Amino acid sequence: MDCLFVQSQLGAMIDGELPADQAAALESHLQSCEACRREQASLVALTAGFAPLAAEAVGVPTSIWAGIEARLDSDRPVEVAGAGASGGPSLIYRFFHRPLAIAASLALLIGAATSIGILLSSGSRAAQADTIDYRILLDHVGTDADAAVERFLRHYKAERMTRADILRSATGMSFALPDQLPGDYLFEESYRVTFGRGPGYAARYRRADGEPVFVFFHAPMCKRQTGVHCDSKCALARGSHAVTVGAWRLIHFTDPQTCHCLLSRSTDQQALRSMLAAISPEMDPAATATAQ
Amino acid sequence: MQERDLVEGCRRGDRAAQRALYDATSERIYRLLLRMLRHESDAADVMQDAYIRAFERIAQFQEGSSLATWVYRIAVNEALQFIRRRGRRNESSIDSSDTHAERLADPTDDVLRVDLKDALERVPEWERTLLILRYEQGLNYAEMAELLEKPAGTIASGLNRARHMLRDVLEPRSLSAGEETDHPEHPT
Repeated sequence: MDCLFVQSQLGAMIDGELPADQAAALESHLQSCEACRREQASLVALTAGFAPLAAEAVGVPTSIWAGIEARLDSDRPVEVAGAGASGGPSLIYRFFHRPLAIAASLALLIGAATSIGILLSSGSRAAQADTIDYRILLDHVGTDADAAVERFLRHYKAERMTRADILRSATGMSFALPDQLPGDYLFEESYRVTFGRGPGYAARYRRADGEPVFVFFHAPMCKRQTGVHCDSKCALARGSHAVTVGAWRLIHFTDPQTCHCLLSRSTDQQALRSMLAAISPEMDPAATATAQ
Repeated sequence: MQERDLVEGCRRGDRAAQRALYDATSERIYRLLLRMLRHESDAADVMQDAYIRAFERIAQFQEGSSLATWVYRIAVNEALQFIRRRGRRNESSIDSSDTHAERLADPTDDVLRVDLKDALERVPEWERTLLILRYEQGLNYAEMAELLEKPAGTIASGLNRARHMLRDVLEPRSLSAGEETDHPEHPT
């Protein structure tokens, strides 16, 4: 039993994880090897240092439960009595507006796929609005875009999914996730997200210098461009809108099946148009929108 | 509140039961997340996500197992997913921009004795997670293997590596040229 092997097993021995016979063999070696005894003593001291850490009192911020409660409350179904004028489902638009910290920033709300059921009697199911709150993303994108996107994905219960699986599961939607976006942005990772009760998808692309681009897809409301929101003029393509937050632009192109969202710092209109066209099969990159 | 009552209450969406479960488990989970993620805001975010997910999935909880352990596992998985999504972002400690590799490679450093908490922040995420679970949270190798969905051998070898990384950060370096580091003797 050589010292290299013994020293590789000392940690497990200290942790009480070795079978009795192996531990006994190591003990026998230690009795005659000072170097290995020193190593054992070093590891014992190292692991003993965790005891004060484990005993350290850690106060849990009260804001954490408050945040949990707020999310539990926001997930509760909202009961709405009555029916729309047509007797069918009505649509409720919720408008969020709050000044963002970064100059020229705007709040954007996009209604997601499903319509809202209306209570017709006390036994009917409750109504629930599906919304995507891009403030979660835009409020922090200027500070750390990767972190802001992670926060947004986490909020909407993102799960990693391969592009192949995404394209198989995204029935009824029309979008593309190419290997590369114009501007040498290479595909990095993709996700399935849950926007209310409807599915959405997201992906991250990155250039060799680390510059990221993010794309998001979800079904539009009512098969047409809708939603009460504030946005800037965007002449990228017919049916597109843009929200600017500092250096970042969140650009949307909506066709009857899908809302395609692109988050980028590029200021090159042609490049943005090309990127948006690369993920939006229905978009005509040559046609430009009228001023909004 | 008995665990069975907690489970039933959480399944009904009873706020008092949810709060009771949170109160019973939050300190241990927050401590774990703080150590794993190193930033209070990240720990808070992931902790919220973990409990929301636990409340959403409470119907899947198997009677007979520990509810606290079940929530703990959700929190660990949420933290690991967060770490994986963090991806290529540079990892830096709260006070220093040096990475573990850079500190090890710099031969001009003087004494680098730092306390254990600081040292843990300089260990890479996976190894830090192993050290925290084993020595601060007290899990054995089998529990860690189940929690992290890795073979026990992977846990053991990972901990070996983690211990050496931690020690390299903790122990002082040579102060002048010509001093040799201490190497164990290898008898023939």
